[in-house]
Amino acid sequence: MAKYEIEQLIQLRETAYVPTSVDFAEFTKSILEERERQAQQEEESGFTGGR
Amino acid sequence: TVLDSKKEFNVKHPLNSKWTLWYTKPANNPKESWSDLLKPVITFSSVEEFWGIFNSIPQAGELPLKADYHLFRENIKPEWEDPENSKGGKWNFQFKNKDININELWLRTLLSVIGETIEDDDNEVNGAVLNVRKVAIRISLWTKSSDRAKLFPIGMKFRKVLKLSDADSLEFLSHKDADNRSAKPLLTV
Ligand SMILES: [Zn+2]
Ligand SMILES: [Zn+2]
Repeated sequence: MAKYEIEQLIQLRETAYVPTSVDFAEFTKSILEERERQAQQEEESGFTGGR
Repeated sequence: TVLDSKKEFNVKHPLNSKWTLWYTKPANNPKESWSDLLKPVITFSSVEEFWGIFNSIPQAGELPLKADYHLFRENIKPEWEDPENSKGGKWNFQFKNKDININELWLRTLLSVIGETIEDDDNEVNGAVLNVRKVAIRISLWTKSSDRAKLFPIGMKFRKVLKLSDADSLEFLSHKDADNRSAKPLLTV
């Protein structure tokens, strides 16, 4: 069976092939937007809390 | 073009198993159920696809709070109710110190799972989970059984993958104890 050590896999990083079945740009955008929204909420609650 | 790149892609490094990446998005309103939030992203079976996917998605440290990544063998759901998981549990570590390189540690976890060097040949490891929470970032390894003899060597390897120090202890919790907050870990290494 095929086993690959961590170091071996890291050396293969440049063989990367991006499957076209998923829109990764859209996936990433929605995640980063959520994070941004949380950061804004945090900031707002910080102000009302009188920090 | 897409067609050209499809033609050029031939798998030179197949993985031993097929893996599915799942993502849990943070709940924003109470009407959203667990199944609305937890979704499979993609299934892959080669080293080439793994890197293509990994390079295209947010890193562990970029996820919002209450988000999870799950990487599980194809056809195993990342829930303890799944029959492949229900008799098992998880090796679990909580990183409370924000100075650690979570991107590297999560990547090392993924690589040890898809390369299958985290275990011997018995497919005991069902998947890996990253939970991003306010108090800590948690990385877990989910197993098929709660058989100490099988779990012990996996736990010892997982310690190295996570670069734990001698002062850190890694705990194995059975899924059947998941609801019991006072349950003791089945194993600690
Ligand atoms: Zn090769
Ligand atoms: Zn989860």
